[in-house]
Amino acid sequence: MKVVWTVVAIMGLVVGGVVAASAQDVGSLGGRISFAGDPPAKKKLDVTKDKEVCGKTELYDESLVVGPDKGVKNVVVTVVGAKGGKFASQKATLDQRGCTYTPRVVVVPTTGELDILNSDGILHNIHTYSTANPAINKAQPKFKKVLTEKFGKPEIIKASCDAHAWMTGWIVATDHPFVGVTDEKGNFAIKNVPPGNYKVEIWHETLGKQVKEVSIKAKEEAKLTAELKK
Amino acid sequence: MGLMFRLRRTRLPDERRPLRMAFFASSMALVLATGWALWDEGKTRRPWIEYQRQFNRLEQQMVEQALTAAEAKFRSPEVQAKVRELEAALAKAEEAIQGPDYARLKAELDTLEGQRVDKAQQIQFIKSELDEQRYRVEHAQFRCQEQEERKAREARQDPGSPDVRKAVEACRDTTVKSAEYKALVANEKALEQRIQAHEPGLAKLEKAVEDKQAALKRFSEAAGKLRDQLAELKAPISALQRRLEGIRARAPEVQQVVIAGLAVNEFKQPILTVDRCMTCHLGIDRAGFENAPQPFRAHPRLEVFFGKHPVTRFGCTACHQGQGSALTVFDAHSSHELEEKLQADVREGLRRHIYWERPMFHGEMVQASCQVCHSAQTFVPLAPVLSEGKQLVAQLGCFGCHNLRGFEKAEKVGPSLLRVKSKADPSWMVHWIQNPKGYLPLTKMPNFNLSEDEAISVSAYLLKHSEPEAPYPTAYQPGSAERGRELVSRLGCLGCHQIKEMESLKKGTSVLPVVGAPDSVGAATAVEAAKEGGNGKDTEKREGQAGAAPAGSPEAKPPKRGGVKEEAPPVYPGAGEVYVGGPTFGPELGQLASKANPQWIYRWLKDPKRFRPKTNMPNLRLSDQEARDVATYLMTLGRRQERPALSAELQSEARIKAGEALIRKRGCFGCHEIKGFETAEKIAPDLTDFGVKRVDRLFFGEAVGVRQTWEDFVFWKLKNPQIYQTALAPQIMPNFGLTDEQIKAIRVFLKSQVDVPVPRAFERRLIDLEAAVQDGRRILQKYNCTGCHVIEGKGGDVATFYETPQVAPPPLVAGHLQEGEKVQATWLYEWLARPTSLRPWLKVRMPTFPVTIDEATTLSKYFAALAGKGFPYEFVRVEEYSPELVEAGRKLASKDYFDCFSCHVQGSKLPEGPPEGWAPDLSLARRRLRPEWIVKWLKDPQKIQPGAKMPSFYPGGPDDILGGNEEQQIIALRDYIMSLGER
Repeated sequence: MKVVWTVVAIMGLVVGGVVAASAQDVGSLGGRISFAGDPPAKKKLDVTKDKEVCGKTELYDESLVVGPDKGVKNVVVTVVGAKGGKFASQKATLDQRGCTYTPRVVVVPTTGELDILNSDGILHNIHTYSTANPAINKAQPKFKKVLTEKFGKPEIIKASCDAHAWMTGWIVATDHPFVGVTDEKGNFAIKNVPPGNYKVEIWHETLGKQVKEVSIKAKEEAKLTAELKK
Repeated sequence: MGLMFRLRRTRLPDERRPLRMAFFASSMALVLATGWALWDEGKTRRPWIEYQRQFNRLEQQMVEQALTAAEAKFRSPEVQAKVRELEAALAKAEEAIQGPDYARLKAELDTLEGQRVDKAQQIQFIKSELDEQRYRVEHAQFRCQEQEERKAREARQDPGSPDVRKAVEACRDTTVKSAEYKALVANEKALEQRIQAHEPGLAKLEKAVEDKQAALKRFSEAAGKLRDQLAELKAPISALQRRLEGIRARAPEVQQVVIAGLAVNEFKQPILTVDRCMTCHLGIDRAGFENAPQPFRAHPRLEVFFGKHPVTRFGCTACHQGQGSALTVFDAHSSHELEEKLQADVREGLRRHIYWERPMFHGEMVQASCQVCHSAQTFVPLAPVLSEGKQLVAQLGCFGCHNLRGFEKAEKVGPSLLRVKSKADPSWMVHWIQNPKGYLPLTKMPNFNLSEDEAISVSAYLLKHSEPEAPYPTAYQPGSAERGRELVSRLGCLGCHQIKEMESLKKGTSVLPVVGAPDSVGAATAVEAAKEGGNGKDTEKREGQAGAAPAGSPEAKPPKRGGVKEEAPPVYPGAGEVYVGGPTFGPELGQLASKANPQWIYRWLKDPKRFRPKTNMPNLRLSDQEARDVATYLMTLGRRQERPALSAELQSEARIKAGEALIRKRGCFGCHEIKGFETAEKIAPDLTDFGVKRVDRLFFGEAVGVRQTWEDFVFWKLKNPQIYQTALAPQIMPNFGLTDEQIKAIRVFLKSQVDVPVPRAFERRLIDLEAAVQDGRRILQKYNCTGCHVIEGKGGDVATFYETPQVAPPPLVAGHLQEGEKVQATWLYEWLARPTSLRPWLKVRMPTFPVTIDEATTLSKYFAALAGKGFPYEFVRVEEYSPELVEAGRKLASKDYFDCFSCHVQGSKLPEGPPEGWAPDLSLARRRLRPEWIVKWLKDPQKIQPGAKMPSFYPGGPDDILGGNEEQQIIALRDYIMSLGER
């Protein structure tokens, strides 16, 4: 009898906890990812095609962008195993503007959709190299302003354009909202994380993957810093 | 005893002599002899009876087991619950039949039936009355005619005259108008109405009766259905029980098939033969006996073998040999292989059969029999060892010295030596003749076990009788080895030739362009699927790729496409036949400088056919400078090793004479063209009937440890050709350095060398399509097409030297990709003979192969046949293209829409950007592509060629062209593309 009461009590606490957590007892994770070593020199891309559109502004190789104070841009930070949470939006947008992908790394909910825009008004094609999701290679001619795609399985997918060989982008399909991408200073922020101890995956397209552990407390911002090297 | 008789004889007269003992003894002997005779007849001479009993026990056990399982299943709670449910329902249904409802229905039916009969009778009566009335009405009218005609006859007037007719009319008028007649008609009408009034009542009654009958039937039907369901549940049990009864009732009986028409007698007349093997091999054609002990085991791959070769038509001994009519183990098998498997006593019996002409075949040797009917096929799918043997004989050129069936017209396998002097270095030549595998470990040239002295003599003859090469317009000058190396690594030379120092240049690119990143796990899986049964080298490659999976992919999963259910790509049967020569097809070039001189290499590269008209080496259309660079590079490989004082020896007349004698003795001309030996006969024994050569005719010499059997003789002869050599009987066959597996394959082929006439009905003849595919595959092998291209999912290994599949030679037949479906056969035919560059930006170059007209035709036909396309008939556009469609297509292809020329070349108009991003010239499409393929390609390029750079434009065509009708837009694009280059 005693046991039953204990169980009921615990269940009550858990339910109460979840309800409370969904209300305001959540924490957040913020931090900065930096580059260990000397920042690589900026490399100009050779625009060989459609110069009147692609050559308007100078294009640089963005496969590794190190900002001031060695912050690395476009690093994907993922809190693994956190439950609940809502996506701010089910839609994400990837623009092809000036023959680059803006943003270079785009986060898409697996339940949502990705609008691929063609602001350039020239022929692009979106060619993805995925394994969990179906690989696509679809043309996006001038008249096709928006192409909407779904990525139902969590995966980080490389996308490129066969018409403009220098174009590379990354689509981060995720089934939870606890994903952040660093800005040019290397900073990121992930809001509304339920308290707990988590593993955090830090991934960059050229610098590879790191795993760290972090403890998130209610109403507090946990800090995470990491250094990536070549 | 005799003494006793004699003693008695002396005392007693014959008639009084007691013969009790003698009678007793002889009758006992008779009884015993009878008993023995019966026993011998039943047991010793019929060992099969015991086998049949064993089999019956075995089958009974199996059936009993199955029965127990079936009963257990029947007794299981679920089934029992079902049974109870059904039985309850059945009881209820049967009860219902006995019940009040049923009785009431039946009673009602009876009443209704009575009412219906009454009603029907009532109507029947009224109908009779009506008939009577009708008669009267008709009679009233007819009476007039009768009356007037009678009057006329009485007055001797013509009864047919108009007067009479008029009188009849008048009489009728009067009658019809009479009240009497009117009453009759009124009565008739009234009767008709009465019938009509009754009819609905009858119909209603009939309907009611039917309904009741149906209702009653439902009762019995319900019961019947339940009974059926119950029986179905019990069916497996009763079937097994019946089978058990059948087994128990079986009496021992000789089982046999009589085969008509397969065997022929000395006069080529078909005869009947009898096979009784299944008297003991009772499980041979029965499923479920796959793992039974012999002799009861089922035939392996039962459905395939027996499906294509029904026992009633082919019997057993047609393939397995042995004595079909025999009923004892000894007499039936007479096989040496069996000796070791059986006990000592049985072995002793078998040994008696050592001289049999048709001992039973064992294991893979059975495949020798396939050749009898399947001689037209180079590859027999169910006989891999035989096929391998045929392949080996064709490659090694055994027919150069031996007569062999099926190779009567085969060409010599070695290169012509008519101009060897200008090519080969004399020092190298001596070394080579002495030990070919010392220079090229993979060469087909066997080792003749010659001394250095003999090798010099042979070289002396060959060099002396070598013709000078015709002068060539340009000459070799040293070029850039660096550029040459680059050319060799890019042009495609490595598709056929290995160069050790180049192995490090491998990029590990998968052979097929595949879905996903070229270096992803998905790529590896697709390669695996596409290269089913491919060579083992790929395993490492695949593993290498798996390791390089991008960090983003969470787990290895095969790629999927668009969520559409994948239809399996068409596969032509027998892809195992496609030979993959790979980079070991041509000689390894790592030591070339020790063999050849740069002048010769240069001329050879520029025009191989000129030096050797029968060569398979293609012309790479090198410029003078390119050829010089390549020759310079190749000369950096290896080093010339000069033998001192060789040139003087090579000039010696005695040497040349000795060389000639050696060439004649060892039969070098069997494989090589050599001047002075144009008409020389084959030097070795004729092997066309070797398959039935008796053991006592084989010469084992003094070899110890070789069993005296045909199989062992052949194995050891091929393993060590000198093994049976004695002082008096030299054995001159060279050593081919074969592996045991290769020897066994050749042995099976040799066993097939017999003269067995086959009736036409049994010959496996190839239909046109099959012949086209077989011939095509032969030519693929001749020129090693699979060294560069993936064909039927095999080959294409050279791709490993290129960064991406897009810059490697294109695959031709893989998955949904079918070259024959893509290109026009006529174009392919013309292009093969004179290839032009379709993708000029590629470094790899399709060379000009020395294909004959026949070969080009065969290849075009082969690709068309694989794709299921007609040959030589194909789609030819006769009518003009509709200008509206072409215009719509032009608009679609323009910069405002699909911008096709962003990547595609159009004649002399080149796209922007680096050539790596370009796509094939669309102005070639009209003559090159099949129009229907363009449609298929436009609809889904990724399906045809996974990983293709061509993106899919559909679905998603523009709305403002052709009313947004996508099918029409694709047709318009096709017509536009097909109209390009026309002007």
